[in-house]
Amino acid sequence: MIRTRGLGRRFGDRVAVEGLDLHVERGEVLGLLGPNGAGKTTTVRLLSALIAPSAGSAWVNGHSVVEDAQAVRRSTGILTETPGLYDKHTAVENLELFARLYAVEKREQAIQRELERVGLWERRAEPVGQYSKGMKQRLAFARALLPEPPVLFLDEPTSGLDPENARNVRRIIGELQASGSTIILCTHNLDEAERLSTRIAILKRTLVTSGTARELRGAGQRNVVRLQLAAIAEDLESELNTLPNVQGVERVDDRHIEVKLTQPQVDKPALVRHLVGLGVRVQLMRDVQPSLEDVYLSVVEGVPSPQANGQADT
Amino acid sequence: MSYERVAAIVRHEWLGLRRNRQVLGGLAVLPILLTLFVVGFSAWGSNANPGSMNNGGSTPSELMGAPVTVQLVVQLNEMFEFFFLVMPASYPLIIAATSIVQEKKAKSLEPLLASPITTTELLVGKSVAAVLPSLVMCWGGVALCAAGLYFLAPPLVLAFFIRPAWVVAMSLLTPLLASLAGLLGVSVSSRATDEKAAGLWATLLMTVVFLLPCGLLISGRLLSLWALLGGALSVAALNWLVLRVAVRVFQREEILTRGANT
Repeated sequence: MIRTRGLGRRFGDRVAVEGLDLHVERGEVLGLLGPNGAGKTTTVRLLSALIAPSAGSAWVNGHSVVEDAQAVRRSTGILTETPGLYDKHTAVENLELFARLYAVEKREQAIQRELERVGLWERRAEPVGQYSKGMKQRLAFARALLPEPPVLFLDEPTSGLDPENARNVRRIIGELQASGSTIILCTHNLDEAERLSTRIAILKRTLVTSGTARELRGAGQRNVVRLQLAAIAEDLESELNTLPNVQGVERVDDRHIEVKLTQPQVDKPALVRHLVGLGVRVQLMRDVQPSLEDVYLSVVEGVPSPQANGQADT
Repeated sequence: MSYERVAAIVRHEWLGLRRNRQVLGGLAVLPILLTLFVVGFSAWGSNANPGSMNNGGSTPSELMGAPVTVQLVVQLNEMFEFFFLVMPASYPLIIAATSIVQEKKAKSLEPLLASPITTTELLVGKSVAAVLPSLVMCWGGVALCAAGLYFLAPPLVLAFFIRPAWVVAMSLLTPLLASLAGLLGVSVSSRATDEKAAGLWATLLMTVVFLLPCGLLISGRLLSLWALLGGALSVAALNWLVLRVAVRVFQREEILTRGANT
């Protein structure tokens, strides 16, 4: 559904995106993560044929973003960073413009369907200038969904929404995915990315890593076990640090310590035996799974910052 | 070019304009004043004492022998007609000059440009939307003037007011001039970064747009139908040229990524 090969974009002498290879299947939700200036917005603009690449190529829904930009625009919906609505127009009038531009069939029913979906039907006749930030965000979301495009680009879809409406938007994204829509979701909300995305791509000017949340966490395994003990003696940390298979010990609280091992599968029984030998009562031991945040930060911090290279906020 | 998409833009712009009473009021003032002047002076002049005015060398032969007050009314009406001619060219320039720059400010241009609309459709739509209201008001004013003259003034005054050259100028040249102004306005708007700059450039361009009707006024009543048709053809060609230039100078990418460049 979406395929890029060596996709790149420069702004003057600044590189916003380079060598980007992506492959997103139909019905996938790809969470696009990355720090500010990593090239997420530029990538979305490239894929929605708003700007042309300066290197490489991309196809969306079978259309080249360079040779058939018009067809790409017809088959994509976009929720931009800012809602970009017409404040003097009502919600219906805002949607009506786009329904006409996209030649949406049964325009009135489609507008009603989307406004009801985002909970704005009752407020449809009010000028959008009177809407709250969250309502504007929901209306912009409805505008992106209106032509029922096979491909959707959503930039921070729950930004500014209260928990109830954020949940509703997440539910809609789930429904869209189930109905076969392909979605690229740009977000800084890692929890949301993990909940909604079938795959996650971490971008920092180029694709740093991608995979399911489970795969990313697995790749970021830190070989750390957490032990729950009946009590922790004063010298326990220094005692454990002398063991050859222990790389580090950290006291979490009065009853928990985390131990970093060289080879967890081999070293865990030896560690427990050693603790029992010291008279320590081990109540529980489990592997510490890195959070997506841990993985994200370790990945992002391991790559030179775009800002350091003079990148603009893209 | 999809006429449905152009119509969508025109309709959308009109909905916005309809709610802006200050702009609508501003558009209506001049046609109303001109109508009142034309009908009022004509009614007064036709009933006033002829007085003593010599027929000068510039008096058209058709007016020779007519009461001097009627001659005066006809000449005054010609001046008002000039305003009717240029009015639809001035307002669209100002309205169109702010249309795209306002979208840039509201950040509503990105979703619009991400839709299937082409640059030509967008610019034509914005331009037509800026032209139509003032054109309708102008033609409405002219129609009211003609009706008023029919009832209140001698037939000679009405005959001069709706002479063929003038009707052709109003129905052909005026919309073309207005369209030229609209296209120049959207070109300015697509390049401008704020409304003040757009307004300044629009004012400058207005003088250029006015050159043609001024030329027509200087050549006065001697305008032939053929000269008018030739003028209209030239303005139509100019419209096409300005549209091509406007599409070329409308840099989608630069508008969207100006922040990324700086």
